[in-house]
Amino acid sequence: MTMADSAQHSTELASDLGEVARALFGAGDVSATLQAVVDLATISIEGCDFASVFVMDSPEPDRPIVTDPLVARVDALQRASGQGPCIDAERTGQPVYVDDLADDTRWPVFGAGASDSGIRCVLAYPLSRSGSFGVLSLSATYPGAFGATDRAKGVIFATLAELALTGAQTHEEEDRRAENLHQALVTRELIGRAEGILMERERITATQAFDILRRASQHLNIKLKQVAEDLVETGERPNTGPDGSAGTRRA
Amino acid sequence: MSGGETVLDRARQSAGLSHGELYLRYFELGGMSSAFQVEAIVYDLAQPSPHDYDVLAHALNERFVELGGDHPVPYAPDPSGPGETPGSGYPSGVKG
Repeated sequence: MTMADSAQHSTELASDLGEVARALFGAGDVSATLQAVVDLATISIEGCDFASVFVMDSPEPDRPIVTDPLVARVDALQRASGQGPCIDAERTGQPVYVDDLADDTRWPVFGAGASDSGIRCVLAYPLSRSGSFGVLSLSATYPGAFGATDRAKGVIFATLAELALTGAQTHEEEDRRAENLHQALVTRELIGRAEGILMERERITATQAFDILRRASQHLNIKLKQVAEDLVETGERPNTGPDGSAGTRRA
Repeated sequence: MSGGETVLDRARQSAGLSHGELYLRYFELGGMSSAFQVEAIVYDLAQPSPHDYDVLAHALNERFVELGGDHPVPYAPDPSGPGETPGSGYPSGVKG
């Protein structure tokens, strides 16, 4: 390869990875990003025939993150046998490369089963040091399918995937927090309206009105929000039980 | 500075709530104190009003009901009556 060829190759590689980064970071939530990771892996890494995100703690995932049912079966075999490159990658936090599963002695049970299924070569990258997103598993039907360029590209790809997944997870948590806060505000307003009705009707303070709602919630064993909702809808005073001293507390 | 585990903090931990989650539930019920003040109350570093204490206690008790329990956190005694729960944790003896 001449210097000009090498420069051209580097430019193409950088351009490819730039496209990959844009697609991964724009995929959306964690679930969509995981699926984008495996889909893009088979497109952007030349030797890769199939890809999956292997998760050890999920014995039978409802929706496995795979590009083909074949790798879902191979991942299941890895979980069942308790051995394999993804398990090692998750345990050590380091990438694991298998040139030919048929000849590799590290995982005799899994290696024989996987090669019988048609998978010969595997690259496994942990998606975060603690393996919280699982392990990106790239596989091929031919031994020695991943060259040096593929393996280097795999390292960068896995890093981009991990960053995109972390970003998607953070975004989901922020959305969840915002939704929880919104719900809390709605409930708070509802309770305030119920207190207002009691205050106006019984000429009591806000503290006393809250006491009535709280005692009814305890007596009826339902949430205070439900007591408030019933009061606002029906206008009926909530049942505070035999201890009818509600509303006696000083403000 | 007060030390040791308090009734409210022990209840918070038993209910599996973080300080943020407890504050959100307290806020939802109409609590007016800040998150910082609530944390100080939970650690017995600030004295709540009886009403504020009851809002916090109820936020915790609703969580216990969700978990299949009852209302284990005592409410503040009613000044006009004998108090709802013997040995109530409020206002003295909040610390466990």
